[in-house]
Amino acid sequence: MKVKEIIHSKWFFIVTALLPMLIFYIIFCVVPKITAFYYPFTEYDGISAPVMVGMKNFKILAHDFDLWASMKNNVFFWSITMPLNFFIALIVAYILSQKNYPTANFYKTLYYLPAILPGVIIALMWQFAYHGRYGIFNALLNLIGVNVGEKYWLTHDLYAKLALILPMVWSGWATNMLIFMGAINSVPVSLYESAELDGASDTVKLFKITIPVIWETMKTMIFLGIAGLFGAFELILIMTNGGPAGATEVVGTYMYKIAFGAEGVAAFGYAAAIGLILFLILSTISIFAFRFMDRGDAIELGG
Amino acid sequence: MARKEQGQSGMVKRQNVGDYILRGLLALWALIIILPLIWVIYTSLKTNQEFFMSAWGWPKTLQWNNYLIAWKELGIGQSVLNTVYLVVGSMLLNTFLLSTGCYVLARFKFPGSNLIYWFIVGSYFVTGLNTMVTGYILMRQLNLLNSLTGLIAFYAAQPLVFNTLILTAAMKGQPKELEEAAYIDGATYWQTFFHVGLPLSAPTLLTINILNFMRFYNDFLHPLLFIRDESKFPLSVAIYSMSQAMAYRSDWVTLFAAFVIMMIPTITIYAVFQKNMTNNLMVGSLKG
Repeated sequence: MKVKEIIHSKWFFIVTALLPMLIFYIIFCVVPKITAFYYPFTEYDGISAPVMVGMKNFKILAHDFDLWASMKNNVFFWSITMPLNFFIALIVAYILSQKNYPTANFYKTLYYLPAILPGVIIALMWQFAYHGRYGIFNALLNLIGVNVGEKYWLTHDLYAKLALILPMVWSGWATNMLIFMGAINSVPVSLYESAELDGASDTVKLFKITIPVIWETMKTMIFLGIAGLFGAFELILIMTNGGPAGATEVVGTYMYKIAFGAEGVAAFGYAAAIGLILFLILSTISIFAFRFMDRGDAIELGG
Repeated sequence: MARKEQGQSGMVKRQNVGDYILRGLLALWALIIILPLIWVIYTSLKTNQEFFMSAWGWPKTLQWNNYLIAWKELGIGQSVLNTVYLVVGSMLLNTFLLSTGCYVLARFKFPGSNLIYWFIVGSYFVTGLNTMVTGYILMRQLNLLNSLTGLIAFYAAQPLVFNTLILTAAMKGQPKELEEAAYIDGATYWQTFFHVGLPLSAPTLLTINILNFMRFYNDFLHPLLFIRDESKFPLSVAIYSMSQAMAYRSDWVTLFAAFVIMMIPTITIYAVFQKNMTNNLMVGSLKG
């Protein structure tokens, strides 16, 4: 009788219903985040127990030329793809929301399609598209009269860097488009109507009405875009694996190689130290941007 | 709606050269975006000889056989089974953990309930690459490496942060009357949860699971890190390792058939649930 009472009590329900989620959350989400502050101060090959080495990893890291070169590549990719993703999305979203073309919904669906495809397929597809002899990219260039011969885009250091931007934008911009469309559709119709009565052109309406009203959303998106600084890691890992000769190496691929690379012993401590530096850089920029933009509602949008 | 009508009546008058140019540009942009996909699809229906001759030429006869070869010889069949187990298992486990936990957080006030909510939702911004290594070390210490079930346990926990935010809010908005009536009829708390609370939140759980599907099905990094045996590879890693082997056998058309096979579920889900996925709030989660 007593057991049954306990089983049917409110407290028993709360504990049994909440505990599974909490246990899984703590083990698989919280623990890796906490140990991310421990392993950077150790030397750990994954076989023998980790040894505390103090700041040693960070001293090596400060003079690791390859690491800072890969960080520069992150900045390179980010500083090109983020504005592209942003402005293409803004323009397309404006046209789709304002023009009422009957095809608007069809285009919205189609444009967003690459964003939902498996990352591995996107990367492999583009890798083959850049193939010198059989890839569609050169075939397309030929079609519009640009003959580059059998150019293998991913084996030349500068071309590889430029070639990676296309799939990044191809699969990345449409997410911004959807957010912009949501924001633009919330602009009061009456504003446009009175502007149209005054004979305002589309450009005037975009700059005088739409952008000022969705300004807050745009700031939030810039803020969220900062988190993309170390993104596109999988794409690069598959398409070039950082090559040729480190030309497209980003922090993610570099860290991956140190931790899981085939050659030598896995240096988990050092790789974790790079992870911690990434975390600190992102947090610093985010806090800075957050205060600079004076944002409180970034949370609403998600990211 | 008012704007739409107004716009459409106005459109007849204002359809000028600029509109034609804009619509042309939209169509061109669509073509550019869809072109690589079209290329993959029609190449997957060629013979290798046809493919090596020209990137543009259409196949003489559609080689559906390529799909059969991909399925059998490249071992896609086994990977599909692995993927089904992995994705369905992760979705079910996440749904169970999430719905029970959020129901408590939404419906019961007790000392520390708010603290627990913020403990989970608060780490929303603390994500990223920095746990790649420590996550791997954890899985290794738990002896969960090279196990699809281990990956399910890991996956099920990953979207908890964002999903808790969504589901707790949705459950708080559900009417309490039905649950109160159930208690009066003598239902236990667990019965009330399963028969009243859970069904009411079905629409939100559907949306969450569409996103979960995309997240688990499309993921490449974690199976790459955690799964060693080829026989346990889910599709994403299996197709990657096939393409690595392409260096030794240039059988592009079969590989492209495998690409298409992997895209079919994603595109199907997108086609069916497009509205749920292009919803503004959800977009944020996909980006993260």
